Amino acid sequence: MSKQKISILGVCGSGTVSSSMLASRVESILNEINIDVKAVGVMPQMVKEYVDRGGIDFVVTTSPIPGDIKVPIIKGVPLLTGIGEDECVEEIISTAKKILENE
Amino acid sequence: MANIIIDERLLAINLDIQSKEEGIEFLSNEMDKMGFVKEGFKENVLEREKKYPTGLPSKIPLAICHTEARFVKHNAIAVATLKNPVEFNEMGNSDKKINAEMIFLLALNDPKIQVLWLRKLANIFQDEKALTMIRGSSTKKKLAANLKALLQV
Repeated sequence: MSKQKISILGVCGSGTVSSSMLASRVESILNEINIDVKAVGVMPQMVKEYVDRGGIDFVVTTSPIPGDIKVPIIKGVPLLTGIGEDECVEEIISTAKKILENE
Repeated sequence: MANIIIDERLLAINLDIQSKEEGIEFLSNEMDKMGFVKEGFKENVLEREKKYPTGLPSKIPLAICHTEARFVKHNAIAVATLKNPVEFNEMGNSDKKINAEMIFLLALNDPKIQVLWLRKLANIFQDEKALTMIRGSSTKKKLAANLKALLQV
């Protein structure tokens, strides 16, 4: 694996509270397996612009996202409630690993 | 980690309300009385709740209402436990409803510097024991003490 760093977007309606929570959860999940994470919290309508600009590996969100997004989108509410969290964590880890392997 | 205000004046025990709007209005007004939020905060939280609902289907269902930083003067959290649950739409899944037993109203003027604090708050939402402790607080004083202990403010 050439790259051990992942860039993600945490997304929620206001681009502040829940997105920051998601971003920090993803950070701790991936840091556990020695992957560095650069996370930015944004609003849904900003996602397409960020992703099209390049450099974003995947998106974790609590809100529906408009437009055609070219990277994986993971639903992040389980990271806030703990319900269905194991599957969500698994999805984040496997998505990150797949991205790193394809680099 | 400092400078998030937890104050008894921003707490309510077994608040008797009929709707989520009533709950948001009550807590927003308390924030306003303390001078922690700017004009338009309440309206914006209500508006945002419609568009981006914040109901969480946690072990004890709750809502984490909030809005953009530009309506906030001081970082603070207001919490109400409810006498009877009120309906909120679920975050990320507006077709679903939850019956919230507690409302958390967050006023954050720069969430980016509060990431650790938000992480702690997110941990509470997953922790049935912590939620039970908050839900079961019999006085505002106890609720404030429990929140401070859980969030280590």
